[in-house]
Amino acid sequence: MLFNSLPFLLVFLPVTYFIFWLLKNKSHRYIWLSLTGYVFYSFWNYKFCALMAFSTIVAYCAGLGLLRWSDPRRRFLCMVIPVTTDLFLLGFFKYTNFLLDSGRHVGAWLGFDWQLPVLDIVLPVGISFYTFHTISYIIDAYRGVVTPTRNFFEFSCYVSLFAQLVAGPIVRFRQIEADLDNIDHADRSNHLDIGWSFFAIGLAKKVLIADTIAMIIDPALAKYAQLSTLDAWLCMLGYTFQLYFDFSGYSDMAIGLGHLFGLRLPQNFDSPYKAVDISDFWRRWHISLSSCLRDYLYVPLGGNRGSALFVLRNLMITMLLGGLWHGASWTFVVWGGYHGLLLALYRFAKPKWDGLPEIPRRAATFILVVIGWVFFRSNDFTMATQLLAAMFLGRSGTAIVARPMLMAMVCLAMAIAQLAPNTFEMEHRWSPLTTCGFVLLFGLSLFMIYGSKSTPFLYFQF
Amino acid sequence: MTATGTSQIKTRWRVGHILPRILALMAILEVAHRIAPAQWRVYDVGEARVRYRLAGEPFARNLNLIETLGGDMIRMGNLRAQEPLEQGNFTTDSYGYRNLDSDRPAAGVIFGDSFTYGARDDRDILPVRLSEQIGCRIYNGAGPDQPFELPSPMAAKALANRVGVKGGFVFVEAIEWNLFHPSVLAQQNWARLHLPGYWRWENLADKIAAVLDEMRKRIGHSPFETLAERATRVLKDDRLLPNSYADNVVQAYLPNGDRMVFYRREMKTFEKHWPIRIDDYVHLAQELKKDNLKLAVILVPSKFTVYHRLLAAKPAVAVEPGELLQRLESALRAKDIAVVNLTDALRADAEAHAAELIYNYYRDDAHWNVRGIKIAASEISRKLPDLRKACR
Repeated sequence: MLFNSLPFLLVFLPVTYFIFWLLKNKSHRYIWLSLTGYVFYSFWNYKFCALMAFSTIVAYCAGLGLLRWSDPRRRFLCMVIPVTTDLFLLGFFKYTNFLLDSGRHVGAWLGFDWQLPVLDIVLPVGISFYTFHTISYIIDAYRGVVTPTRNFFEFSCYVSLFAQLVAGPIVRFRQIEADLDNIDHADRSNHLDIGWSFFAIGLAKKVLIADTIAMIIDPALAKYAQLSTLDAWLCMLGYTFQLYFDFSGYSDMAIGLGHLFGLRLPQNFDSPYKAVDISDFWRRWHISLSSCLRDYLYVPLGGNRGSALFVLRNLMITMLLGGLWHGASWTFVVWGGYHGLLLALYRFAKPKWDGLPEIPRRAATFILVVIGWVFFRSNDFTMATQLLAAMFLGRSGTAIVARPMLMAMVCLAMAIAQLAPNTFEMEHRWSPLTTCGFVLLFGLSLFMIYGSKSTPFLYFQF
Repeated sequence: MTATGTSQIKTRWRVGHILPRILALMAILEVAHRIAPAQWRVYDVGEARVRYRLAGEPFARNLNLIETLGGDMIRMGNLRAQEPLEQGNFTTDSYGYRNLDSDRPAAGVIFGDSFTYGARDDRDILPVRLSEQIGCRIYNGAGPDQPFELPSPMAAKALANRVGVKGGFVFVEAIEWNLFHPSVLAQQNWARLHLPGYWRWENLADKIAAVLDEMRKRIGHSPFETLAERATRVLKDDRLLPNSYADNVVQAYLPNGDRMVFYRREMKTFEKHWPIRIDDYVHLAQELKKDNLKLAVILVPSKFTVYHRLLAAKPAVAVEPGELLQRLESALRAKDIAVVNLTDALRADAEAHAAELIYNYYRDDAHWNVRGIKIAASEISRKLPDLRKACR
């Protein structure tokens, strides 16, 4: 079920909402939210509910173990076993075929004919997100950052909360713990305006901007070999904004939905295309993931401590794995590596870069990010190299369909991304006139949802 | 106005107050639309006549509709029409089939899909034109469900009996592009042919499935979706937004510049040599024979099979168009089943008159026009001399 679908908007959300506020007891609310999370999830594939339940139970038991034992060895086991289990599940479902395929290619390159099978593995939607939830919980509990909960339904509610279940933001337990504890005292009216405001903005971002751009660039990128230089740039700029408005739109909707149930989810995007350097970009883009990678990977690897070479190693490992997290494909690994390299270069060139005026820095960072998205969007390296060749080597080709519309959408998206405040910078107290604007946007979004099949969010695939 | 009053008005102008109410209103309208007859205004005649039928029946009963029709390929591909809209009528009898009168006993019944029941005017449909050719009534037993599947012997006999066919013909239409459809191939299974009483159970199961399907459609489909989809189609004109429907059809041109639009699915027919299965035809013929009824199979070529030789730039094909029907024709003849392949007659007419801009299929539609129907009726009547005997 998608947030931008009629069954969600007209049935699931109202039913979940009204029953939630009818329930007064804390445990009842936990149970209800857990239950609705599983119902929401089962619309993709009910069989994988068992997998999520297993992951939840393992992490919950680990938390109880960490609560009970103070012996370092036992605590270590309580951390290592469930984290390994989670990583194994993630690895099996997401990376098995990727490894087998890579093995076949390596074998062919070495001259061996390895008969490696292609397994029929279905990737459970959102597995990358909820395993990160459980892993972050276990590690934080091990480190003593959070006190594990004894209430199973509170924990289950945290893992399976439908608002952030399938595409984040990756919420850490400590970020939501206070709201979960006070869930029976949450004030409905306090959250109503901000919740709907976030939700409507997110819906408009997704349906009116991201999906409109996608309608034009998807068929154009399917014929990437025929793109001219202008169209290749237009398509990649279009994709740059599609990705941002799609994912940040989803995050805004998730945050808005969280508010409707009295839960404040963390910010996931902080106007990333306003970044003035690549390090700044990663502080603003998919904040919940980049902070997880920083806290659970980069810092344990050694972080900024040690020699320049050592830091470079840490950066590259973190970014390569971050790339791989997005998808089981070498193009994602290269995208991660590209950003790792940019981060490393920035570290060395920081004094000179920071001395430049803001506008050129912002523009250069934006262009570097756009180039990175070529690898992110491409199905394979052939597509990536063809797109890069079209962008940089000068090529003529037939004009893509609806080019003027794409140009207009890119300009609009650029203006919003570069000039407008993001949803966390807004006060969400709207005048009657602005409220009318909201109603119009919301109505238009509903019209587009009615008029076209709901399109899945890009980050569901990760 | 009191201070409290002012504050209340302001309170109402809040996003959190208005947006959920918009959703609630939409939900109420959705429910109301599923019950209220206002739905009739949402759907065009073609949609409505199917939407309001009873489960298991082809169309709503006793309809008498006037409709304005354009090419189905234009709609499917969201293209600009080159043929003018035509006004037509659509009348159904008390069983829900498109027939003008159901009182006279019939000499035969035709099962099929839109090629059989379709024409702008009730008096132009194939069964009526065939009736005119042979001088007695042929009942139209065709429905809109796709892909058209062969009727079970029980269903065929029941309808034949109901409309008074005694010792006559049961026709089944076989459209070229339907023959390799997975569900059509799958229906020809061992259990259907060999297990006693299987047809009855299957018939019951079909009826239950039809009821459930109707319920699913009613609940699952929103009339607003239809309206909004129509509105967004206008934007997808390949100028403002890419036409995402264009891939549903294939456009090709005749040397005189006229465009022929083909159904994408029909092009699949020519991708490879599809297997043919005749077990069900043989079984149906045997069962009908027990009731002194004769099976006749009408092989209908797709528009591409009729016109491909005349196209200026032909889309590439792996298999010669018409080959599938030829194989089926030979296989049925070998089993002594009456069969009429309409390919040659329609092709000959197309080749003889294309230069005069006279066609036997609509250029904007996947179906034959009145000229094509007349050719088909005359060809069936010519190739089945026994048919006239059945009238006596």
